[in-house]
Amino acid sequence: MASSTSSVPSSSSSTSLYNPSPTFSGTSTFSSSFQQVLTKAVQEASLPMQEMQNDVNSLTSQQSALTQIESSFQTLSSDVQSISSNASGTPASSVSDPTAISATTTSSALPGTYSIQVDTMGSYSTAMSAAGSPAITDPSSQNISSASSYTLAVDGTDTTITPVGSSLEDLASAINSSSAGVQATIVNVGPNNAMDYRLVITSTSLAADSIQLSAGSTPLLSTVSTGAPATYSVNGSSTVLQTNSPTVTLSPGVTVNLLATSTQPVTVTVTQDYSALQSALSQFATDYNSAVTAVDGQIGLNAGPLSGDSIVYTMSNVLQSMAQYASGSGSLSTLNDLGLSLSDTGTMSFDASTFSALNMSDLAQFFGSATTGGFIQAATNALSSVDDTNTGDLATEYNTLQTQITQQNQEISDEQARIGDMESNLESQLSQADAAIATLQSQKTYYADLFQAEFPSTSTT
Amino acid sequence: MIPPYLEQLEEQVRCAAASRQYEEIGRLAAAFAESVRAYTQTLPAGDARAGDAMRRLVDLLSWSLVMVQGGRAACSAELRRVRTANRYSRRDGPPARTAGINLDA
Repeated sequence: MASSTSSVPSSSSSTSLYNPSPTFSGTSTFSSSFQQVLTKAVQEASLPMQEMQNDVNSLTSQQSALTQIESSFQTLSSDVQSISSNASGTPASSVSDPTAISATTTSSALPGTYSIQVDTMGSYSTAMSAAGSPAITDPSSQNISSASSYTLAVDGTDTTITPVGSSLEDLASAINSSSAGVQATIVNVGPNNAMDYRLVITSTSLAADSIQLSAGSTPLLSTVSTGAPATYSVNGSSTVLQTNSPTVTLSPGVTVNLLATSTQPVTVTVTQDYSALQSALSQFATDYNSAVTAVDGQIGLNAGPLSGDSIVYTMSNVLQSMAQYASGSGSLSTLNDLGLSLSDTGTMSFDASTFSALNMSDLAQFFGSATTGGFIQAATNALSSVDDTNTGDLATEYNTLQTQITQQNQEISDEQARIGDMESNLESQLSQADAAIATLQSQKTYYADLFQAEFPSTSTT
Repeated sequence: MIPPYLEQLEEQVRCAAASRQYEEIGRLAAAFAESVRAYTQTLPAGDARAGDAMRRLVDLLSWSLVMVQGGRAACSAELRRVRTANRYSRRDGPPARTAGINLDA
């Protein structure tokens, strides 16, 4: 508790009526209330900041809601792109005899029916090292030659082989690492009690390739089998085709793998598959409903922080314009014709059976593309008007909110500084006033007492 | 009556008190008191001017004290004005949410 004090020198040895100049110090009786007043004043002055902070929180909530809605719209845009890329279907193939061939297709494959008859599967040329003397029982330490460098001749092309070690395993590894186009393996041709490891080199093409490995001028291999190309005929042609690879290009985008010979032509059927489009449409319906839910959350009672913002209605209109798209021509004119229907509550659903029953050749006209019109262009334009990351309404609104938040935060910062300055200034003023009051009180008491002592018959104020 | 130099010192004390120069008031008042003390010591015993000078001193201290207390009250009133001031009108909008402000008050 503050109190009024004074420090007045005690009487000196001097008999003079007046002592040397007294000094005064201490705090006034007002000090206790002073700090309370000051604290309250600063707290009250901070109320506008509370209001501004509330504004910032509100703006941040709006930003958060915008981000959430933007996400659902971007998902919808992605769905539209997926519909666009799958609108014409994707080529798919089937074969009549999967044991004879397998087929793969790419996007460039044309729908149609092909036939292929595999006459011979062909074979690979193989050569094997001669028996060692003694036989190699440990290929990790022994080798068929003590040479440090070898020459591998494949169909007349020489390749120098330099193993990193001296073992047979090192030699095989070096061959496989080379670009000679052969495969080296180590095979045991002896019984379990008398291992006899040999180096076997097999060509990688179906052809009568000659294979020889030499250490200096010494040949190390002998031919085990001479390869031959595979033969087949296509679409009933009498022309027999040869191939050095089991993989054959049947048509642009259509590749078959020869698995076995066939006594009858094997049929390869390439069709357009619309299952991906079906999935994309189904996903579109799901994500459309999510977007509607997100937007509806900002409308009506218990609406979110974007309640009343015009962008809510902009987004709602975009969704409606997509759902109610009408082409105006063609056998397919609305999303409902595709199996995408709206319930009376605005929920979109996808009927796969309706979609499956469509004449898929009509899809291209309905969907169009992002540049040539149709549903894809209409939906793309509508969605990009709101979710474009640079010019979309959502981005614009988001940036506007961000600007307001930045301004509000700056105002809060300025207000904090102002209140701080005010506090310091008032503290200083009142402290000085208290000190002056304490000094004057002490002086007055001291001199009043002195006056009374000297002039007892006279009163002071 | 007091000498002119004492009247001049008294005037300085009154100016400091009137203009709320709180740090100056104590120093000037002490200087005035010291001057009055020195002045009375120069007077013969029983001289009535000593009593007049002392009365002027005590009166000045009383008056200064009132002035400073008034200034202090004005300062407190300024704080109260800040407390009650509503410089920012509340905006229409959603209910206020709890905010976190580090006021360091």
